[in-house]
Amino acid sequence: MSPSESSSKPPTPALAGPGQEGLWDEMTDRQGRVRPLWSKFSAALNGWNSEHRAELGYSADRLLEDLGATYNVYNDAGGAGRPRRIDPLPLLIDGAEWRSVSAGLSQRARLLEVVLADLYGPQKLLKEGLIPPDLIHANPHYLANIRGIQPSGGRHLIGIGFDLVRNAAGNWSVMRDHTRSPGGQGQTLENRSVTASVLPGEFEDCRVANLAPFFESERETFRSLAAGHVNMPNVVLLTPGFRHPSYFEHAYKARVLGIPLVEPADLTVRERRLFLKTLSGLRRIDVLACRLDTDAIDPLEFWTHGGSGVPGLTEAWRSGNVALANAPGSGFGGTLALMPFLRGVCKKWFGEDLKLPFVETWWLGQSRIRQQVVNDLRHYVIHPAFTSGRPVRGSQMSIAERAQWTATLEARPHDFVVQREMKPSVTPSLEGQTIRSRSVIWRAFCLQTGTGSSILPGGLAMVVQDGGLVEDSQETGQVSKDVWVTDNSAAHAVEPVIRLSQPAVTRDPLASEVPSRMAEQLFWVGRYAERIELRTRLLRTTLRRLGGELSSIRRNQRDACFSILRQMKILQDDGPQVGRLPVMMLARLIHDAKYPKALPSLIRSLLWNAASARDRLSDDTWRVFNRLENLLQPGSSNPTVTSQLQILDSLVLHLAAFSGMQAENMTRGHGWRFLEIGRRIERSLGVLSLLESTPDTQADEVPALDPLLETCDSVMTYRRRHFSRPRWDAVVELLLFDSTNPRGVMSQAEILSKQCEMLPGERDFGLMPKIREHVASLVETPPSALTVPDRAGFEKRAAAFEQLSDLLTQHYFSHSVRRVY
Amino acid sequence: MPAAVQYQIVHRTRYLYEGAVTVSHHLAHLAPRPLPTQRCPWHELQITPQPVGRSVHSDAFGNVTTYFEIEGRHTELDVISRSFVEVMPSELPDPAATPAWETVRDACQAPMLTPSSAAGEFRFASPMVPVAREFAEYALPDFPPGRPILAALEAFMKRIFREFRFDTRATDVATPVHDVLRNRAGVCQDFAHLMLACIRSIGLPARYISGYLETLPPPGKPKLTGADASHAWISLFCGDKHGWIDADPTNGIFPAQRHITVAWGRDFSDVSPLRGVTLGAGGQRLSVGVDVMQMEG
Repeated sequence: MSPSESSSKPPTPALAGPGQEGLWDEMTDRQGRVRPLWSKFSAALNGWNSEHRAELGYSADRLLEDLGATYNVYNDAGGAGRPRRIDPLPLLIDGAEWRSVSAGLSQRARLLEVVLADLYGPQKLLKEGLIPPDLIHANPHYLANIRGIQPSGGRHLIGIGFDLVRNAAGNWSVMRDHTRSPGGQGQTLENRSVTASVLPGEFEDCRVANLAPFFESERETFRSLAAGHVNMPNVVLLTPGFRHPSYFEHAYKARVLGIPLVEPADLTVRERRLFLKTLSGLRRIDVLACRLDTDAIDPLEFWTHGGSGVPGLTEAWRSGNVALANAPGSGFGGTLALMPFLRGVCKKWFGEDLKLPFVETWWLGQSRIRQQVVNDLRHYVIHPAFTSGRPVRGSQMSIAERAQWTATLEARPHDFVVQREMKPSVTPSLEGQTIRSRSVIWRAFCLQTGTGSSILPGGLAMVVQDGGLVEDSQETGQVSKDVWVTDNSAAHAVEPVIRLSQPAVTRDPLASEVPSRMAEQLFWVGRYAERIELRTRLLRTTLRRLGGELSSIRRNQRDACFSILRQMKILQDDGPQVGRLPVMMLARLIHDAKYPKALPSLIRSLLWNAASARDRLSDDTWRVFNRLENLLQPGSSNPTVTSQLQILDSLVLHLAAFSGMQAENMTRGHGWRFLEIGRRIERSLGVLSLLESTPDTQADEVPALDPLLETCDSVMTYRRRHFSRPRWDAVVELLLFDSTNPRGVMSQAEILSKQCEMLPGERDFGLMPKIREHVASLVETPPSALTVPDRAGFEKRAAAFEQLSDLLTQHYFSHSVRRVY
Repeated sequence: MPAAVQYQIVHRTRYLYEGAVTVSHHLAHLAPRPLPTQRCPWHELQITPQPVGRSVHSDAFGNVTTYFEIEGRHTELDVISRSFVEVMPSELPDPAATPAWETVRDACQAPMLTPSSAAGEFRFASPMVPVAREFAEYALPDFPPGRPILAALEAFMKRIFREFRFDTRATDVATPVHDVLRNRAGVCQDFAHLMLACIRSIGLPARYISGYLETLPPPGKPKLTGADASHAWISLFCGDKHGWIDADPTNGIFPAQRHITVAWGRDFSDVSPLRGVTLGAGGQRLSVGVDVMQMEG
């Protein structure tokens, strides 16, 4: 029976009953008795009614969403950003069993390290015939360029992930080694945080082992890799960037470790040393936790056409000036084709048997076994040996397909690896209100410290999807659960939940530094947040004048609003809006994701910039951001004024929440400063653009004035000053020159002047004198300026703020283009 | 038996950048490597502006590799490599005495590291050299069953020389080998890559050689193509006894004393004479000048 068939069972209130034929059931034995390990948890499970089960799932999803844990959610192309899901029911592992598996994994980690060190060094394994030379020669994951380099820190592998499955006999065995970087640790931490929150009682009852010591130990291990006995070594985590599917995981991990998250563009190599580009200059980096594919780390030494990476990084590493964890080329250790040879290496070099079995795996270049496997293809999964490509299950082949594969395998045996198809053990899994049996793969993690190995007491349990390939579950399944190692030893049960959202206690010397790129991104977060707010207010002001009875005043105001929208080129007359109902035209500006002037595309730009500065923004900020896009989902094809106003009101409140958090909760570092400066520049530009677009300013009664004050949130201020109907000159005075109006241009200029004084760097260096001079001119109000400017006057003022933006960009943000030849 | 020939080689590479470059990183493979038939008693690399970080290491294939960085605004990079090289005479084996090409192919697949299976490293696809059936099909007419490997190599090299047109406008550095095969035109680097693709596609190990060619026409002989630039050819592994034998498909000859080897690798990407990554705006102009002068004995 295949794992997928378990779903055909009728839903039962809670799962009980005999284990399925040929599968190991984690919770019950063959006689249908609950295993002692699960007794408490099973009792709890049986006590839940369907409502409680639904509530559990809902809470878990919600918590995960709040952590922002979706894969690549900011992918503009859409589609790839399917959210990952969590099953709150944990996989339980008995403490004694965990210790025995750990011993096997430690041995395996030691073995993989020795194999990598030899194959990137003297290659005795090839000379002794323990590993066929073709396995490295044909393998693109084996990087010939770096052969002979002694990794700084003395070892190749720091973190390793292992995929384990439990077979029908109840034995855990290794299905895959992940030696490039231990992916999934961020998810593990998220799952722990969510599961322990929704199942607090069960978590306590099971005496679940704490994950924190492992990550503390990892932080220490990274530090210990620094060459040259630096007192406080600088460690950073290098991610390919927020478009990478695992970006969130990288960000989360960096935060747990309390180290900065950086992208390749943040780093530079000077005199064969690695530096982080910060606002206050270059900062030496001693250790790099690297999450890039090796051939993407350095465009100088690896032939990558995109030219991504950090030029010179390989040389810095070769010179021993920076440690990389894991070392470049380590991914080769996880090659499936290597697996069948590890047993022999362990026997010959360690004099030991493998303590932990592995799933039967054959490289078909081994002529001895080829015929036997090909005859028995239906029991195996075929993998390309050295290229990426989807594995194919022999059990799913038609007779014709099998014949075709047999021919292919006989013609090009070296290109394929086969692994026996596994039926992993099943465990209770919550799906909606129902609990079903689902197959799981356990990803365990190992850390190679200076003195030995440490295994995480827990891990990531990946749920195998219906009819899905076991091998695919990480990429396509995206349903995972926590692993609880239940341990009665007091050492592990001190603190029930580790405080994962807390940054490391030790203050990192780099913590206060802001990478230049991040400052730029925060600057644009400020600009977009403000742009969205003003746009939202303008749309709301317009909408408010659509419904109800149309008095002549309201009609004139409505026309004035549309005139402003056109003048500001938000509404374009040649667009498809012409001739449609006004409410439809506005709805398009609120919902149309494809129209660049509409709110969704502005929000995407905001998120795009915020995503790269994720670790500078609080969880609460992300909660607000995560909801922005959903707010604008088009609700019905027939929008009403009321429904649209509700949406805009809600949007205004969310944006106010963000600016409140920025004002109240963000540390006043340079990151905050650039966000604030961006916001102030944008607000000035917005007000000036509104004034410039106001129609009929020469008329006795200017119909746009009420909407203008409303959009600029200055109605109350105006009323307090003037007890008359709004006058153009008085409105301009209030919005332009009155420094007590927090929405006015003058108070923005004053804030800019204050913040620019506190910008980092030498006051006389580069463009700084020019920036200071320019800001001063913004605050000055020559008597002549007090007269009401004409359209050109507003334009000139706006240009001055634009120029400040340009000066800051030139001085602080790198705009250089990289060339590779 | 001819005597050793001595050369003085000057290889100058200049980059003129349109906009100022602020930082640049480079990797050079410009020092001729020592061989049983070649000595390089003297080599120097003159780099302007003065690099801030500079180091020399031996890469995975044993080539001398120079890494350097230039910091501070610069609009020009000038790299002059000067070498003194002595090339000894060598003799090719009798083709009939070399093993059948399939014997060499099979020996390279040994499950244990031997000289042959070590050479096996060079029989797989590499960044610029794909392995595919169309390449095998092009090569096979010259590799009938049982043919001695050197005889097959000579026939195949001469066929490429005959059937392909030397044309500097036909390709650039990024032209895929598939296009070279289809268009039957290119320069020395293309012919070397094409020949490697064909040879590897039938399972034999072959490597890319980067070097120079003396282009002064000897009396009564035609001037050889490939002048005034660095040159490229290939080397085929012909079994444990005969080792690696070079072949120059651009000129249809076996290199002797007029080919100077600088470096070898799986393809051009391993041994690019001067590779660089610059940070700065604008385009660039490249000029390369190579002079290979024979010293009077």
